Amino acid sequence: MLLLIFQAGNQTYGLDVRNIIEIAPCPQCTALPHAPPCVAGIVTWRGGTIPVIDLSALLAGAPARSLLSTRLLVVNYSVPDGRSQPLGLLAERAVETIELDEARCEPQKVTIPDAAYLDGSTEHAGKLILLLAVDELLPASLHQLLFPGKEAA
Amino acid sequence: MKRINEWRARLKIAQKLALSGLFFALPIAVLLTYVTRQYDRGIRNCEREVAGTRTLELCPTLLHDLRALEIREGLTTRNSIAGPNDLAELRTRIDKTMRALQGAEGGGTQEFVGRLSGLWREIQEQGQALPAQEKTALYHQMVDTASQLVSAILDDSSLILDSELRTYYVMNLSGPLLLQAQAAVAESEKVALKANAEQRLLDRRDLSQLQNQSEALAGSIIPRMRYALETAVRADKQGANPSFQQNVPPLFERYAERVSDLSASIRAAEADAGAASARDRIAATAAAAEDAGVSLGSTAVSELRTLLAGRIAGDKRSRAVAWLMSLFCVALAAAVMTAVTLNVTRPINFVAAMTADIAAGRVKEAFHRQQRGDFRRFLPRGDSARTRDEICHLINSVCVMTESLDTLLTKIVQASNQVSASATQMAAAVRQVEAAVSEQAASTEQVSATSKEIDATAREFARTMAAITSRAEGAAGEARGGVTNLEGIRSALDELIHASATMTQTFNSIGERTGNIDKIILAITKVANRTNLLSLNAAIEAEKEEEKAGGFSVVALEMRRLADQTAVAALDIEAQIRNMQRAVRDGISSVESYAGQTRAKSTAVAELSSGLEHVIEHTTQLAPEFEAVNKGMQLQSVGASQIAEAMEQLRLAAGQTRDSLAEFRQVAADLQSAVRDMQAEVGRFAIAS
Repeated sequence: MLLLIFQAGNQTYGLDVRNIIEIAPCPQCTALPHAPPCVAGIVTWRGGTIPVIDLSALLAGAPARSLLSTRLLVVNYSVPDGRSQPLGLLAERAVETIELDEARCEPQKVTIPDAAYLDGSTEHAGKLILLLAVDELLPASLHQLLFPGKEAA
Repeated sequence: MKRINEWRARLKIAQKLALSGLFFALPIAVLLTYVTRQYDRGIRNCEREVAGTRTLELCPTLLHDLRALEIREGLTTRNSIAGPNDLAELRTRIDKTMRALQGAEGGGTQEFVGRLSGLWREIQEQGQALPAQEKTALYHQMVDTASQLVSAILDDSSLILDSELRTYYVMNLSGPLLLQAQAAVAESEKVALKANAEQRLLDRRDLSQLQNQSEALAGSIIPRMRYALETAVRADKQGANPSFQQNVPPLFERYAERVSDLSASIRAAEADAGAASARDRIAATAAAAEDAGVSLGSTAVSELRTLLAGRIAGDKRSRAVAWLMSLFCVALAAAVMTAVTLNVTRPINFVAAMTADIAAGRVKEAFHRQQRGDFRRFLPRGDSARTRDEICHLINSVCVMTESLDTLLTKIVQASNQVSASATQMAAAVRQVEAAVSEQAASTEQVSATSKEIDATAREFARTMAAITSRAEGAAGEARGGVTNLEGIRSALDELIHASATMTQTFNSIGERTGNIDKIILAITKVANRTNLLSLNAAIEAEKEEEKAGGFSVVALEMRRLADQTAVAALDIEAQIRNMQRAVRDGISSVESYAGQTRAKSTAVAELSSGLEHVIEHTTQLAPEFEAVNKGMQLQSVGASQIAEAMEQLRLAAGQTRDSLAEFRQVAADLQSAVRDMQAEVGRFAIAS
């Protein structure tokens, strides 16, 4: 399993690259009025617009800094009704991948209801990396917010 | 063994099957030969037995006639009791029988027949001239020869060893047993007739002789004959020969009756030995018994012939049935074998043509052939999947294989086209990255040179500062020394102001250059950043490809190495930029504050005339300020060295990146040539879609 690692606050997180469609430079997000703090806005991507979630805001409570190593990860997000939608994620220091032996993954032992996206942890070069489950990333309230019209259609 | 294998390889399946069929037909042919030979031998034996019975049939009559003639001729020489006509008739009958014997006989009994006719000729020619005793001896010889003839016939024609029960017993009855009985009866008659001819009554010797014959007949010969007849009749119940059942037993009963009459008359003669009537009655009953014996013998022999003829017919029928059955079986086997062979070879030829098409690369034709459904006429009607015929399975498997092959080749062609396109794209991307990296290396060298220059300038500046400091100290000393040399102080201050102006100028140029470095580093960072992004995306794609195909692991590994190296470079550059920006900012602010202070000091020096104390104070204050500036410059020198080092590292990293890109390009080229090879190989197969 190949992991893309990035940072939010002081913690290193890992994401399975099979979920990632593309890694793009940090875009200029168009902010949405009255959006929750973890929604950075929308960006154009491959001729359409996709919502962008700020992972630093979501995981560490502080918005991502505008650095070159801060990047947009476009991932396949499975909405609970079964459709698969592209979703943008802003991540800091998203510059490196590591090859991970799946046998060395520790399953998640502490279950936090508001952080269902934590999928376990692994150790790499002396650092503890938390693994993220993309499909559990958004709280239910955000589904309605980000993918509302399509459910009616 | 090798030559047998070669020979076998040249045979078709049908020829092999025909060959094995031949091996199976061989034992049938051998069995048929043995069976036929067995039947032929049985038939030949039966025919010889039939020939034997023809001779045997004549023997009872001949013996009877010979005995009668001997008795009558012997009696005639003395005192005749029978008329001459009777004798002539007997002779004619014997002549006839002899001719019949000569005509009927063949084989080993010829000798006896010849001897018989020789004796008969001798009796006929020299009959009147011979004395009575020699003539009797000749007759006895004839009777003996006739008896030998009978046993020879029985031996030669295998009658005595006949395999069938009824014919064996009938032969036994009409052959040796009847001859014994007839001999005994004839002996009794001879005794009675002899007494009659000599005009005397039966004496004691005659009686005892008669009694012996009677006992032999009643005690042994007749019961044996009865037993033989009963066994034959019982055995014939299965064959159910009605003429034998009807004719022979009554004749035998009559014969037995006549013989018991003879025995009764002999017993009567014993009781009343003196009676001539008893003597004559013996002769009469014996003659009647003899006649009955002759008719029994000839009938039994003719019935025996009928039985044998029936057996010959039965054997011939069985032989024909055996031949018909064998031929029918062989014909049936040949027909079945032909059908099976056709059933096997035609589908196999079809499959062979199809696989030959595939082997020659004409998958398209094989697929069309399969689509046309030519093979369906080889399959049984109905659900062909449930058949247990291997040929059906073979055809089904080949059809499925052809379809799969066609689909597979189509997919391979598509996949190789895709891979080829990807490889081309990859090579193009690598070339771009390589160009970017070369550009980066050039920029890095430029930065390196600039920072070295900064370093040198800073060192020069430090030296200048040291000189200024010493001069300031000198000025302070001079000021303290007195007011007399004000002109010297003024000129020193002028130099100081001049040096400050030079310093400000130098700092401005440093600030400018630092700005340049900033821009260049930003450009490098952007390149490194984009390289990192590109290789990250490539690594992700390679990972996904690896999941699908598994053949791009080398590409994936290269991609990941490139991504890791550029990641380090990008992050290092980010850090270095921050460091350098901070150092430059520090340097510029130090210089600006110094410049400001110098300007203030020069204003103050211009006002020196207002008071030397002031000047001295200011001048002594200047030294620590210079010290601070000097320290700032040293810091900047260190910062510039660090930048130079970082640039060196970056240059090394760029070199490594270029190397790995070259490797990567080699891998992409290999991949492309491999795909071309594969396409050429697949292109050999013409596919349907």
